[in-house]
Amino acid sequence: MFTLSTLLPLRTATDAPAAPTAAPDARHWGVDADGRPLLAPEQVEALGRDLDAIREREFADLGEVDSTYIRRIVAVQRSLEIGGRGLLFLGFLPPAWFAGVVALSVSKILDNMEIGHNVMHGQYDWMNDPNLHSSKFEWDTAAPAKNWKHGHNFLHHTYTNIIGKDRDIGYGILRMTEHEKWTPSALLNPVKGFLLAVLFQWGVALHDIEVEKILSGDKSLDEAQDVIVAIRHKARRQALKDYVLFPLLGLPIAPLVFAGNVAANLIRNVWAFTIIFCGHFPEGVALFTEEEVEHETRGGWYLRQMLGSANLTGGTLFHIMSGNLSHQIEHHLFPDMPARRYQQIAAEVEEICERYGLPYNTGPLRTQFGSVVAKICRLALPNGTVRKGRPDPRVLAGAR
Amino acid sequence: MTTLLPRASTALPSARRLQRLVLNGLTYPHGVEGYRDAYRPAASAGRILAIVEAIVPQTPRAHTLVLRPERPMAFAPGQHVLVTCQVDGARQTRCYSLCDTPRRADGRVEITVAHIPDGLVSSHLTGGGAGDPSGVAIGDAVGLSAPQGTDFVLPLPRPERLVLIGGGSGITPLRSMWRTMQAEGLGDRVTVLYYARTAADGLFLDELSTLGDAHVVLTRATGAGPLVGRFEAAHLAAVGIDPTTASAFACGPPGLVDAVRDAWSDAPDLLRTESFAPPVAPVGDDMPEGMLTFARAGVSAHNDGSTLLEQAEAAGLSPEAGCRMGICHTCTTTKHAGAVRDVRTGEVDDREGCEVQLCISQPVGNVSLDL
Repeated sequence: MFTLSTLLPLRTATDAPAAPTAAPDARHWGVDADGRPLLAPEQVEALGRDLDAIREREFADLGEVDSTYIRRIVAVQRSLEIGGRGLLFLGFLPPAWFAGVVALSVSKILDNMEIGHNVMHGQYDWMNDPNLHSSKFEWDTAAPAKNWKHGHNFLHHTYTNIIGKDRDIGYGILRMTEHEKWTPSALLNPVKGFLLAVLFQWGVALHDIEVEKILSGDKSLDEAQDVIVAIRHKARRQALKDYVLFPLLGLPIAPLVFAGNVAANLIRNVWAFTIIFCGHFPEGVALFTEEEVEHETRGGWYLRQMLGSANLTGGTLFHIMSGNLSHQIEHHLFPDMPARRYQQIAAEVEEICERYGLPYNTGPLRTQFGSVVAKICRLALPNGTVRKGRPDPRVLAGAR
Repeated sequence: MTTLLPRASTALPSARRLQRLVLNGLTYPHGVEGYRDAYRPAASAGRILAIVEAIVPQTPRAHTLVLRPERPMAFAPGQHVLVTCQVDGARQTRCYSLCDTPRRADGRVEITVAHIPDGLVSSHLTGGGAGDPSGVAIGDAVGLSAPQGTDFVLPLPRPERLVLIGGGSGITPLRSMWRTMQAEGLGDRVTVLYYARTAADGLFLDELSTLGDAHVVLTRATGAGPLVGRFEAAHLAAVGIDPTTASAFACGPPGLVDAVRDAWSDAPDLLRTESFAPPVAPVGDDMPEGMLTFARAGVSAHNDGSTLLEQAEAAGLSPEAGCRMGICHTCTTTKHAGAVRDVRTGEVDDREGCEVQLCISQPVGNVSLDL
């Protein structure tokens, strides 16, 4: 009932660019290196039922705890923002300037990640709160909510890690898979990665224009007009706030306020980039071709989310500061579940992975991000120049 | 730099407008309310914050909440408000009549809530006893909309002769009317006819007994006399009302309202009515029933049992949609009325005015959508 091909009858062949035909190690994800089934179809469906049971249980339990939590986070974020901006007006005292930058950075990180990303996923729609509803929320970053929700909630979360359909693989800028043909421009991978980290909010905003589709003729400039207009409008207001109005308000030390806001945006950019790149790009995360997922069932969709995501270990504060994207696996299984619950179900999801002989890709930030950086550098060079850090999880799983 | 300023600012705005522009600019994208609401009870977002100041028992299953709004609320007797409260972490909204006079000196407003079995909000608003910590308590916050309703309100100038006919909890808006007439020294122009099943169901019975011309009819009681059983035209004659000359308001179950309308058929302009809609009964699983209404498009279709999204598309609409499997929330739309079933869990949601995901919701009986 839930196969992608039946759910998306018009989108499989026409909308997407053709799958890469010369994928170097493409094999059916349901089959291991020796051609034996990785999981029997019944097992895939059983896996789906196990995960559905978690979903059902957690959603039945939604209530006061979740609403109190997110409302508290919002109050903390707003207080940090007000406090941070206030401190920047005292920026002539260096400790106040630094404290202001820290508070404003944390505020922006909370706004974008634990609040914005999660609210716009519809995690708190059931609260019927207009301030926390996915259809109404707007975040403190350059990308307009409406554009981002289409690219992220729909494209990325539905077609996760499908080459040619998931536009988040390397964001159309970086070469993040062997499946993508090597060209000399890939040599710039590390430089482009660094620039994307620094300018992340603008990268995320411009990503939704789908420039590559316009260049390939799959999308007309007219179709992109609404998206571009929305970005221009939002970018203007974001810049007006951080780079004009607040500096003007702190007039005698306008340059210090300006610099503080630049610093806070920069810190948020680099942090968000770091966490988000750890979600799908560490070594050992699987990618899929369109053929592989052609007859995918709901169980298969779950399996793809598990194999295509990676977690980060850390303490509670770290999880909150990462918007709980440190539980990328759980997030991709249940994108509209209030994120504070990922931590609670993580052990169960890991146990399920173990039971079905599937990898559960996790590690501390330094290891996972190190692996991402290594991959960015490795894929700057033609395939085979440098050996992979970790094997493909599909082979790894089959070997058990 | 000037190009960064919104275009509106070039139109030499007044000081107030400029202040608004700057505040909006500084608080973008959350707005001033986004910051204020972060520190206020969830129920008050987008609403007038009101604090429950007293809970006055009326019957074993109904009580009156005395509310202190954060700012004075002007309303006309007979109007209602949308009351928002938080139940189990979620905001819920229901309609209640304001049942005290707007002439009240202390600016408090009152609503009277009767418990409805399985009613989420009425259970919350009538709970709060020792055995129920989840119910409303003194000091709790609720959100109030602006007063609503234009037709069922006490007119100015006040009628020379006013008949108020209520059934069950339909007495609540009428109470605001007689209290207002009393406050204006016009109490002797009012006649009240109130129909309740038993004395234990009747609201404001003590208060009615102090009115000059009020008649309470207990419809379940047996006995002889001019006022027995449900409303009929003979009841009017018995209390000396001439429906061709007296202005009347009737509020209650549809049966009562229809009977009153018949009695005023010679002078329908003198009568104003408000009827409480009957609850929608969910139908069985096997046969899809009911009509699907796409309110904004003005299109209706017979429910064929498939998802709201499929039926909307079949009706020629193209609502925004994404994953079609319930994960991306692109298709989330307001459901005005009716019940829908989550195809994943089988859970039925019959709340009014809530958001539903079209792609995983199946109509159960009549459903109206904001599409």
